[in-house]
Amino acid sequence: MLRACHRILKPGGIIAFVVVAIAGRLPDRDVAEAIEVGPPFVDAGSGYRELMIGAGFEDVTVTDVTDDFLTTTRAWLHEWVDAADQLIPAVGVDAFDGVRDENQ
Amino acid sequence: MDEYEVIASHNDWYRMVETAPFRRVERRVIGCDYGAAGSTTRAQADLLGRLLELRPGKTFLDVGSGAGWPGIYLAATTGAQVLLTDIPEEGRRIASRRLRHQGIDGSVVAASGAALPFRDSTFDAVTHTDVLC
Repeated sequence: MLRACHRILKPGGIIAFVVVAIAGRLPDRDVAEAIEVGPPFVDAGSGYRELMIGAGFEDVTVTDVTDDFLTTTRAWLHEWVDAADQLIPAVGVDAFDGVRDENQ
Repeated sequence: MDEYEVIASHNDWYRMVETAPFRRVERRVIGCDYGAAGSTTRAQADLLGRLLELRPGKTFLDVGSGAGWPGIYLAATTGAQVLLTDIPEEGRRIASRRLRHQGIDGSVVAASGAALPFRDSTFDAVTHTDVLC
C-alpha cells in the first residue's frame, strides 16, 4: 500500500498517518500477545521506517504516540461502559460486549 | 480473520456508529462524531493536517477512510479537497452523505489501498489512520 501511495503522490508530496504497531524491543511473549489481541494489521513484520524507505519515501520521521493511544483506549472503555444503559438497546449486547472487550 | 471477514466486521461497525448513543460516546472520547473506527483523536487529526500542509488548493487522499474520519474533518477544517477511498460499503455510504450534508469539496471511491486507481503524481498529500500498510 505504501508503494501505491508513493506512486500517486506528486513530487515533494507528503504522507502522514497513524497506525497501531508493535513497539520495538518487546519480549517475544509480548509480541505474540500483541499480534493475538491487536487489530488484524498489527503484525507488519518490520518497522514502518523501513517499510516507508523501501516504498521510496525520504525524510521519514516516526513519532511514538503510545501514551496517547493508551489514554484514548482507556477513555473508550470508560465512556463505553458508563453509557451501557443507552448503548445496549441501540447497538445490541453482542456489539456492546465486543467493543468493551476490544478496549480491555 | 481474512479480508472478507474484516470488511463484514467494518460494515457492522459503521451501522453501529450511526446510533445516537455511539456518537455521544465518540464525541467524548475522540472529540468528533465521524464514526471513528480507531483511536486517532481530534488533536492527532489536527496534527496530521499541519504535517500534510493542507490548505485550500491542495488535494489529498484518505486511504481506508471509513465513515469519513479524519478525511472529511481535515477537508472541513483546512479547505483542502479530499478524495476518500475504502472497501466497506456502509462506511462509504455514510461518508458520501456527510460530504453532501457539510458541503465539503470531495468525493468517495471504492478502492483497496494496495491498488489505488489513480494516475501517478495526482495528490499533494496522503493520509490514513489505523490501516494495514
